[in-house]
Amino acid sequence: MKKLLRLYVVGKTMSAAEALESIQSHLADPALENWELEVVDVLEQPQLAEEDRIIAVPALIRKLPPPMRRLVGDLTNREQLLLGLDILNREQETRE
Amino acid sequence: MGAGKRGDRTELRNKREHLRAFWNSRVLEGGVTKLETGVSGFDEMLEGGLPEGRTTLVSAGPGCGKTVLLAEFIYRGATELNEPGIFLTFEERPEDIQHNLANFGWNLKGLADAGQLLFLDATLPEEGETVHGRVDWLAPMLARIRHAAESLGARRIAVDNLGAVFLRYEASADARLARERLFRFADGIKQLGLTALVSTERAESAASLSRYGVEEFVSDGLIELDIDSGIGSDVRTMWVRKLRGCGYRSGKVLFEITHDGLEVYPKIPIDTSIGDTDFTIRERFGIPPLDKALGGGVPQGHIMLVAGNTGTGKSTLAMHFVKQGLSDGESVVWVALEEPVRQVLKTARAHGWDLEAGMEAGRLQFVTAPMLDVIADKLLYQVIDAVIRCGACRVVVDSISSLESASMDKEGVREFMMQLAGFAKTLGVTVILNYLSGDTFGANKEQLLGSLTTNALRLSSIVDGIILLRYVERDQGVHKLLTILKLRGSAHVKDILRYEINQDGLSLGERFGVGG
Repeated sequence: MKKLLRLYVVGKTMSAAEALESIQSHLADPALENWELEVVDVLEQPQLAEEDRIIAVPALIRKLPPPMRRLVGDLTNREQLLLGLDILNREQETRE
Repeated sequence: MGAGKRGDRTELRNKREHLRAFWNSRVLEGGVTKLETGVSGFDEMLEGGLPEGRTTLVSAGPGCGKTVLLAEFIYRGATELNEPGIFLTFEERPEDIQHNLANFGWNLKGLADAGQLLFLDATLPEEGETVHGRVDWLAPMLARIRHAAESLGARRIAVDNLGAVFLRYEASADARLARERLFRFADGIKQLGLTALVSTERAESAASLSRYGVEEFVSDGLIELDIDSGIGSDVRTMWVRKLRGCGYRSGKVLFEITHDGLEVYPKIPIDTSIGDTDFTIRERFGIPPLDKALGGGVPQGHIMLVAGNTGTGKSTLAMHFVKQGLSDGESVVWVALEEPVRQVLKTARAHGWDLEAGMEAGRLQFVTAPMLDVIADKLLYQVIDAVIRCGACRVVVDSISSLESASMDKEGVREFMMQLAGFAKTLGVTVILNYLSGDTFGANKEQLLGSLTTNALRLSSIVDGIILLRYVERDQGVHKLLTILKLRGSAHVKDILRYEINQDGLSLGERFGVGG
């Protein structure tokens, strides 16, 4: 099944660039192998933000596969990100 | 919603517009244009509506009706003013709001589907969210609002409730940051040319902006809603704390949540410059000796107080006044607070006076009110509506004392009388106010009229004339005595006159005392 993350940002701001940069570095992580990233600028595609009910950015959404998950704010911490997206649960994390 | 109900609403609106022409003596100041909300009475309170292109905050505790107010602002815009609007909700799901407000007969979902309004859902998603560090909610929300406003052609927006987004994302914000955020939010909305009504919880709640002090410093306008428990129902008030650069009616204003939304009852401005009594026109009681004693009748536009103990014939005297008005071809409004309308008609029939004919001809209108928690301001609106509807020249209030005992607010009763007097004078309507005074037994401290023998009558400055009805024991009998205590601007008989109440009503006899 397709594995899709979607990152919402607003405009070409410093914080948008920082969010994108940290996600891209996380994608190199083996745990996020085969995950695709889609970047949406709310200014350009407001209807997508509407559908996903985006209230705050940066927002990272696990679109596929379910369960849907969302992380808002600081995306630099690898563990927070993987736990928040339910890609790695706590038990797995400790086993590894 | 049925066709009949909508018709009523239109009629009410037309009347209000008509009345507004009478009342709105003050012109908008400061060059700020107003956006009509369409919420009944709210626009009068705001002297035209909300400041256009600005953000007005509504601060209220739970259950005070802020969501209803906000939704009605959008609903009336869509249905009556041809002005689509956005409802942005941070707390309650749009489906829940639509469902809850369907009780008012508002088909918000249908209107949303038809593109006449739009819900922006900013509630927390089902799956929840994990928040770390700092986030930016202003930019995405403003982008979504812009998108919605452009696709809808919206000019108005309601935001319910902004405090929730601060609670969610700005928990660690200090006052300076919160103010800056709110300022940027309000500014962003202004840039979009939207007029905003934004709610926030009152200070005691966590989802409140008050704790940052932003209400005072940032918003262009601030309205507070409040609720108090009455005896038979809740008493709701709203209060414009400020409205930058605009005129508005100050002071607490009563409102109700009716089957059809909000009804706000703002105070009616009194324009004393219009109060012009024509002393050549007299409204007769149809009791020749009394009319003669009054110099021909009550001068048109006068407010007459008829005071007396129970059973002295105040209602009978008022009934004479109504009957004479009807037979003079005038219309009359009877404010029945003492007894049910049926009882009034029955009493009239016993005297052989047919008031029903006047009712059927639409020339006699009754106004009634519940006997608990009478909202004086609402009653005033009812009286004014009735006066306008039938073009009344005479108004009878039977009695002010019932209003006093049924209202929780004594000052409100006095204000009611002042406002009624002010309104009546502008239209040249003559008013009879019945007042139960415990004169014979000594006055109650709580009553407006203490001892009538003193000059310190609190009502004296409001009314133009006083007729006093009294009992006196003499020669082993009880005599009834009438005195005209006061009749502003007109000569009148100052004697004490004997009177009787019998089959024909009230009949005036000779002077009391001389051979009496």
